[in-house]
Amino acid sequence: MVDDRGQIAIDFLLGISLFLIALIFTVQFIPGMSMAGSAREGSLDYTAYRTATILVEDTGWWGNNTSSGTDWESHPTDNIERIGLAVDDDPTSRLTNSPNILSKNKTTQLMLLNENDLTETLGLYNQVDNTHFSYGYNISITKNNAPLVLNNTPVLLGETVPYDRETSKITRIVLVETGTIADFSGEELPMKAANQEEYPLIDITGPLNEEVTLYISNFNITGGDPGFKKLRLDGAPLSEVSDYLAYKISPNGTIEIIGTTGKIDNDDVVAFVIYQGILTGSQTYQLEFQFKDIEFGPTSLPVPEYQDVLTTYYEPAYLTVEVWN
Amino acid sequence: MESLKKDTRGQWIALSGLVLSLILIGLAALANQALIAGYHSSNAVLEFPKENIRELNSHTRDNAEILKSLSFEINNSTNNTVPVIFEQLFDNYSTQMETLYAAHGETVDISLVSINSNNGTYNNNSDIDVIFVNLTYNDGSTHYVSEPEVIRVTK
Amino acid sequence: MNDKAQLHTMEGLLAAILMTMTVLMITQSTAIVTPQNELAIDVQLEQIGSDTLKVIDIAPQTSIIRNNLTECVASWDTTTEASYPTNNLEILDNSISNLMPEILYNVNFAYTRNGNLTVKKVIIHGQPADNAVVVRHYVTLTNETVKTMGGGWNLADDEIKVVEVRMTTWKV
Repeated sequence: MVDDRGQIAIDFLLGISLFLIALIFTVQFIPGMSMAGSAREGSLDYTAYRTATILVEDTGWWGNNTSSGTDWESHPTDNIERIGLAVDDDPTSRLTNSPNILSKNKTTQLMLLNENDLTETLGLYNQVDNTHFSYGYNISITKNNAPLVLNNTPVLLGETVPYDRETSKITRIVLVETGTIADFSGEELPMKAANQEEYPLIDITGPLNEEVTLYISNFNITGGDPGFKKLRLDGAPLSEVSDYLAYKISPNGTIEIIGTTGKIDNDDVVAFVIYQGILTGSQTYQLEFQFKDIEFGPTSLPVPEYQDVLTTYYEPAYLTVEVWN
Repeated sequence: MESLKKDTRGQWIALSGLVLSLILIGLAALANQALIAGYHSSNAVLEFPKENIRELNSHTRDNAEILKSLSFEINNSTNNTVPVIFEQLFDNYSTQMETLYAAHGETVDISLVSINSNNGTYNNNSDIDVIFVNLTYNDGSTHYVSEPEVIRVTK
Repeated sequence: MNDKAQLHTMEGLLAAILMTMTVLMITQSTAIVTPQNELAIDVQLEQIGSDTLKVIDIAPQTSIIRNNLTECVASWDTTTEASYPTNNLEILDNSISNLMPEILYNVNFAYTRNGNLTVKKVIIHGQPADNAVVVRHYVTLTNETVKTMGGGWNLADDEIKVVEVRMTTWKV
């Protein structure tokens, strides 16, 4: 040991201590930084998958001291234990099982829940050292690339997806209960008068403040140019632009708007959507359809009533859950 | 070279190099461990054969409805009672399901435990109310048992 | 006022900026470039396939899906197998492709005949890619459903036939 100068520079000591303090501080206070890569991705994937699965396959559950059931949507003030959107015909039991069919009431109630309840019940957070870190999320039900509208509200929850962040997304295909539909068979519809077999009738009792959808199937084609001509309400013609929409669904599921020149095959279903605001009076309306080269039932049949054949209408749609940190 | 051996300066720098490299190794090990832990815990959830089990379950439910109406139909043309016919059909169903599942390396066992009826006479369609079925599913890594699975036959 | 070593200060600043930029660039680029966990993609594909069959299976008459899975299977004529590019179950093919556009699939039916397993090709859309996923759904046929749909299953009145609808899905 001849010369013991210059063993360590005081600058270096100061610098390295500062650096280490800063590094430790950063690692301590930004969770997730030390576990980069798949670990974070994995838990995001898992959260998206789990959330979508619960929403699509579970009916949900609520409970208080005295009772409980799956109809959490009608007990918004009670303790909602799980949120699920699957329909259930018996809310008191856990036996029914109908995944992939979403209830309209549950979905609209979901839109009304507050942010906190939602992240809490669906578990859209990560817990690090007893601190909650909420994930950003976007839950939507879409059809034809646009949000599905239920009760005039688009089904869209959460924030817009950030473009510069890593997100995890899962899409489920579901049937959504979107409203009601009346399904009529051609031979059940009485014609308007003798010798007018192409003009069947249907009664509708108002007031109806929503869109009305009717299906007519099983056509008995009698001529070479079967088609649809006009729709009349109590004798007055309706406008195809502002009052109603008519389209046909062929057996393979393709939809085609039918104008006055469209041809109808005997295995097609013709659908009529009468817009909101047409049937608002408190009276019984009579719809008269004008077809061509198609024969309907005899005049002796009773005119069927729309409300009597009403069933739930299901539409295929996509439920998407996207989450990010 | 000789001069370097005698030179004992800069030991602090050498030591701090060692310490720093040890810290780095430690951090790297920690990060790796977190990475593996996250990967495994989430994969277990994603790899669970949820759809296979759900399908076994829900098809057995749907099938019970079909078998119910078929057994009442067969009852009209044979001397066997409805529960006997139902049981035969159910056995047939479970044999077919077992063969189909075995074809892709999954073992299932579906067996009818009991048929329950309100009045026990089986002369109209509303008589079979609830059936109890034992279900097992095994794909080598997941073993699922539902004993009994209670199926309400409502239609 | 000491105005020496001004360039050293500048160098220090520049180094700091350089380091920050590098770290930022790396984290940003990995966030965008890193593909989604491969397993998650498989799970999504399996889920979509499985949902498609499920939705067709439970579809009521009054929806866009006119025939449910049982009816589609019942209407099959059983004698002709599909050979690319002709498929012989149009109704099912259309329903599936309407529900999952952008995904390709092949469909086979598997069922037992005299205790032996029979597998028949029904819909072919090409050679499955490496990342293909198989989903399965089951339907039970009775002679009544077959007769209504006009299929060629030839069942006895007291016979049931469980058919496995096996769909191989993949993304291109």
